[in-house]
Amino acid sequence: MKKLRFILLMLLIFSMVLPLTACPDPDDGDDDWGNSGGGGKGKTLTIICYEGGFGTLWLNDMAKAFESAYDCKVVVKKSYINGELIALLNDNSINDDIVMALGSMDAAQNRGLLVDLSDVYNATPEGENEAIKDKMVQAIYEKLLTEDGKIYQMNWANSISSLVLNKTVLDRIFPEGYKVPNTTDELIAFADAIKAKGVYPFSISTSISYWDYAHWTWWAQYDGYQKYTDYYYGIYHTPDGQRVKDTEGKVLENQGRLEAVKVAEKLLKKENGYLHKYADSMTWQESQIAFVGQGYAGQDMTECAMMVNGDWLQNEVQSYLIQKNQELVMIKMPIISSIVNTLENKNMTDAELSAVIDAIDAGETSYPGVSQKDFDRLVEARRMVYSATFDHCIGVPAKAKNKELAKEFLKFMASDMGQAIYAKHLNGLSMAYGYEPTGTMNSFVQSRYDIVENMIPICLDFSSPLVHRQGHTAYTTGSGSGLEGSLYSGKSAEWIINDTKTTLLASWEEIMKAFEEK
Amino acid sequence: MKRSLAIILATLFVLMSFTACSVEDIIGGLFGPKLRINVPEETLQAELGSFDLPKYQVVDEDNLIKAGYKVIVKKAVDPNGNEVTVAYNKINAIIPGVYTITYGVEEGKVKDADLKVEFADRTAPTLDMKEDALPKYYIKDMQYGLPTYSLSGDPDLEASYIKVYYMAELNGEKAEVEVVDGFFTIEHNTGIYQIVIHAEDAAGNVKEYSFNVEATGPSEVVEGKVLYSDEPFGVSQLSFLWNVWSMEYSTEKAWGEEAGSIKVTAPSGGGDYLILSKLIQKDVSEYDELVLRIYNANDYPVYTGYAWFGDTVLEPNAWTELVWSLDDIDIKGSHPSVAALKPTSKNLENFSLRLWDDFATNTVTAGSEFYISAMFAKKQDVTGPSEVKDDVIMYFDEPWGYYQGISGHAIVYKLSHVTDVKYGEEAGSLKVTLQRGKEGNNYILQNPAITDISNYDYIEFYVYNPNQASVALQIAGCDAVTCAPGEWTQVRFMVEQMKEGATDANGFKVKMTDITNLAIYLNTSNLVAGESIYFSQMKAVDDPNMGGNGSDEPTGVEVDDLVSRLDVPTKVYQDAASTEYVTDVKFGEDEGSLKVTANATGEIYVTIRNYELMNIASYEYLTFRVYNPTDHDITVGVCWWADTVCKAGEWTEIQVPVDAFAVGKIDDLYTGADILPSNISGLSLRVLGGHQVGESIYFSHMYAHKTETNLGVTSGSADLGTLTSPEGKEGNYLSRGTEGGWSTLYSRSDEIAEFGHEFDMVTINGKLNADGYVGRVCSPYINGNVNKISFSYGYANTEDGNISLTVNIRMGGKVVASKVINDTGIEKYQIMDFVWELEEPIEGRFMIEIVNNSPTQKADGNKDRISIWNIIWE
Repeated sequence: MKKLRFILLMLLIFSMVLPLTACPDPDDGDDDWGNSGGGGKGKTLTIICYEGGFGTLWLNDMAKAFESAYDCKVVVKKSYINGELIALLNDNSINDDIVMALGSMDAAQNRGLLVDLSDVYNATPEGENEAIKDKMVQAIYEKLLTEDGKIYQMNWANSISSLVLNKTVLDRIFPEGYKVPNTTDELIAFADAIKAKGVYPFSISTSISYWDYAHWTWWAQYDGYQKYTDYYYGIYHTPDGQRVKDTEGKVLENQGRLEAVKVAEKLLKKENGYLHKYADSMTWQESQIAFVGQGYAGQDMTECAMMVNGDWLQNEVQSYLIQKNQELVMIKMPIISSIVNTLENKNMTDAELSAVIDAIDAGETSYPGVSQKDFDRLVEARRMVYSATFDHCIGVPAKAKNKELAKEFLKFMASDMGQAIYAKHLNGLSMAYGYEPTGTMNSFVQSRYDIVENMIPICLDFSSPLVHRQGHTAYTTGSGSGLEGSLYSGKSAEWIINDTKTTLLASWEEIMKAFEEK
Repeated sequence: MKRSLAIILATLFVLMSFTACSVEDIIGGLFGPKLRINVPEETLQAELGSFDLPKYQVVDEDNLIKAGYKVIVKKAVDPNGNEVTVAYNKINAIIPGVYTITYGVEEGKVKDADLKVEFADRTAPTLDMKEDALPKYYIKDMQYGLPTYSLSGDPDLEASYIKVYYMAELNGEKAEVEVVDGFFTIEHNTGIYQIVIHAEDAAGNVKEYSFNVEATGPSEVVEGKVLYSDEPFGVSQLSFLWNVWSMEYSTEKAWGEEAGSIKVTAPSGGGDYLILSKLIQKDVSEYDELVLRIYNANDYPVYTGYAWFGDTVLEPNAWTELVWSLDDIDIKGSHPSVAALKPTSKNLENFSLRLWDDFATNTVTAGSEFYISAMFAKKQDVTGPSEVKDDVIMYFDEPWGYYQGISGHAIVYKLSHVTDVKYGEEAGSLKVTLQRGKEGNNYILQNPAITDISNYDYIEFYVYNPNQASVALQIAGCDAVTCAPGEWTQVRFMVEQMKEGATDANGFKVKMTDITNLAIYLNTSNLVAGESIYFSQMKAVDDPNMGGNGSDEPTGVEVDDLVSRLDVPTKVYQDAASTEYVTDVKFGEDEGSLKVTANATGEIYVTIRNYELMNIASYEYLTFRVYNPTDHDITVGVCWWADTVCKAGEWTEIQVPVDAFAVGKIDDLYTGADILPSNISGLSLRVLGGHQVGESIYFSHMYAHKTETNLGVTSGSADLGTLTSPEGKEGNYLSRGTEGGWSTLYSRSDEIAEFGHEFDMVTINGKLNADGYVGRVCSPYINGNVNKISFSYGYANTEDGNISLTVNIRMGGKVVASKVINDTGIEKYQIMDFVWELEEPIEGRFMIEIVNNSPTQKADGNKDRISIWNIIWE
């Protein structure tokens, strides 16, 4: 009996304890599967994206994946007119939740028309253990970060541009092999050797400014990153290294500008014979078609060996590669040979410079006979890559109806899950959010990843108010033919520099007033 | 035993209290129905990539869902046994094979369940091609490129391809069309061309994307023919807006020699529009007007027009010719119902035609019939003025005026002849329509009826400005004339003022003896696009009250002064040619010519090294001839101007305007610097194209041409103080020129002032330059006589105290008198005077030259330099 009482007592205790333990919730009405879903239930997110070289199929699929994860509806709209979205944004007349544009949103950002995206950058995507700001390309993050510690833009492409080689052509004309140029002097010699083989060294359309990717990089290499960036902010570097506000336009005389254009002049001047015969007739797409071995309009089937272009190239010429497959690889922009003038050892030969670059590429941290200061200077130059990332800008308009859901989408976009969708559509390309696809990549995409690693992005710095408010720029050519067109038609580097100087000095006082504007 | 049972039960209860189970679970687990997660037993199949994880429930043995359980994904494992990340209720499957996804309940006692999903690449690459990548139809005899597209989803570029097929009928037998370098030719005007894009990935997934494009076309494509109504194809080019009317090809009526026409019938009356919907030649902007004939097969007049302008009456039972200005279409073109569709001369698609006899209802009578001829785009059929008048420069009052000039920038102004706006009794005017707002541009007198206006006082015409804002007209050098809104304004430009500044569109000076290409700047920046101004007839006026301009013209003689014989071995860019001075081929009185033999088919640049005359600032143009002995044309010019086609078997004269130097059109090939007319050293000849390797052409001597008015000069001095170059007069030893026409080679002028003398001097270098230069001072060609030459020299920088100069007098490039100065033992700052009394005075056209003979003949250092000043001849 005592034992029976004991059992009953235990049952009683159990019945009292039971409600206090963690037993299954009968039904809390949440069909959430432990993930983020449901946060957008019943809402419609609208995204508008510029239809450029990267297309928008990736966005359609990313939107579908987000819909299923967040139980919402996503409407993807497209803009086919370059500049349209930026204009609408600046006019505060865009009604979508997320804008993915081509251009600069800095003016809209400075006018308070964009939402602070700090919490997106601070978020750690599901299934990951690093915040977006930590896993992404740091140079991109730091560039976007504003002085007040906030950050208003993301990027829908981590696009780089450099020198692209048609390896199929080069392998054919140099069966004994060839050395990829490390320096601009080597590049010129390489172009001479290519020309001697009856192949155009470069395909180019003078109607589009793709060579900005080259000579801006050379300029930055020569002057150094800080001095290059300071140019856009009107900060002059005195001979003793002081950074001072430039009220006289002295930055226009930064030597790197002239040195860079001198190299471009050598390669672009028509009579030097480095360019495609129809450089000034071809459209940008025709020049790309010629580069991938399809000739120009059936008139000139001469092959081309090199082209300054971006990582969107393969996507844009894919249908021509299908007709005639060509192996393309992107290489780091050769370092401007005259950089030795800025080194402690000004007598370094081009061959020695090239050898140091080989050592840098091999991961060495010093080189015999080269001072550490010089070595570090060259390491910085070697890391410089023209970046169109900032041109592919994303913003959430301040007047967007679904700001929080928009931020969730951007977190999803930056997640490995989102990036996998992007990479699948773009044959391996990804954004700047630390995702590198696994598996086999074609040689072009692989070469692009090799360059992106640890890169220093070089671009026309629209974040400077001098640029986005007052039109401060790198070069003006007066005639409207662009720098390429001017050099092609025989204008000298000195003419380009002086023309720019004359043009910008005429309004320098106004340009510097950009700092005073609100 | 009972005690043991009690202990077991007690232990069980204690365990229960620490686990997440309910009594029901425990009891159920021990005694109740068996619960499970309803994960399917069969292996699912899915596509590699992002995978939405299915949701499952806890069910009992009867598959009834048991509430209260939260089923979660516990883990997912790839085919290699590695756990993969689950995020956003998805996994990213990147490895082909079977993934195991383990489901379990968050709380409760239900056995975990594994879902097997076999991932593979089962989807063929996806095509991305823009809607307009393919034309709406292919036209016979025309060539088309393959469309541009992209494939996503890891396409195998080697296995993927694009092909073109032809089918006589839809789904008929396919014949592959040959594609050469991405282009193919349409050989049929019926049937279907099919573009097949075969998309394949490495896994062998295939999808073929097919696009059909209709083949069409007339029997023969005719340039300028817009509507082929004279053959059955024409019917396919037209459509009706509302399909109220009907049409057919008919041979009942035909215009002129045409074989037939399109018969349009309005069976039940009503209104409708004919629309040009399928055009072979959409862009007719090179033409001036559209011409169409319509036969009105009714007994009553009918009206026609394009929507909504150009209305014309069609007389009954007759053909009426309709001529529509394309300018009007550009401005007024509209679609009858779709405002966004605006036919223009750049794209005539959707050009619409209406027919009506009832103004009120815009309809035609039931049963009305019309026959429509072929439509052509045409240039205005005008070859000259109706009557040549002595003083008319531009016949803007007639159709011919339209052809006499052009807009400086074709985009800015659209020109047309109109008759609805005219000045006074004139028949019409030139209508100048601004096509882009807020800008101005030139109007160019390309083909003036009078080219020599030097004997007139001014040119005069009237401008009508019907707009709200004023416009202004100006010829460079003349006072601008403002044309007020709403009235005709008299515009006069004085010849005296034009002499000084008038230019063509390139900024080259225009002479009053030939005003061809004279530019009139129209400041229309206050107007908006679409607004027009009108020009009356333009006349040259010799105003008796002004005394006549022609009497003031200076007299002079035409001279051609030798610039270079091209007889010194020349520098050829990148060895694209070899050069040789030969005497077996020569032009006129020349001693020989420069033979240039091509080593390559690319452009050839030959830089001139030896000059008799370097300062050509006072001349009008450089001139030289090219003999082309080949059987084909070759284009020749200089770097970068005056490219001229040199006919086979002929000498062709090439003229390079001196103004081209002055406005920066001509550059130094090697430095890119502008070559100035004050010193043209560094000029390069250019063989632009047409030549083959091994072929030769011949360059005559080069001359500078001008009308010399400075005749009979008997004395003068060198204006060395005005020496200049792009670097100024100081600096490196370069070529320089003076305002008075003197030039120096391998020289500078900066060394004397520091010693207390303020000479206007030049220092000529005696070092043997790598390019073969030695220092030289050279006068312009002087038309007069000379008896004596004197100058001072000194401040020498010598190697061993020796100075050697030669003073020459040249005529026609040849030395006719010469004097050598040889001094020894000269000290550095010593000053000497030179006086040369000529044995016989020289009369005619001569040049004075002083050359440094380089006593040391050394190519290093900067020795043998000697300064010269105060050069006087008398």
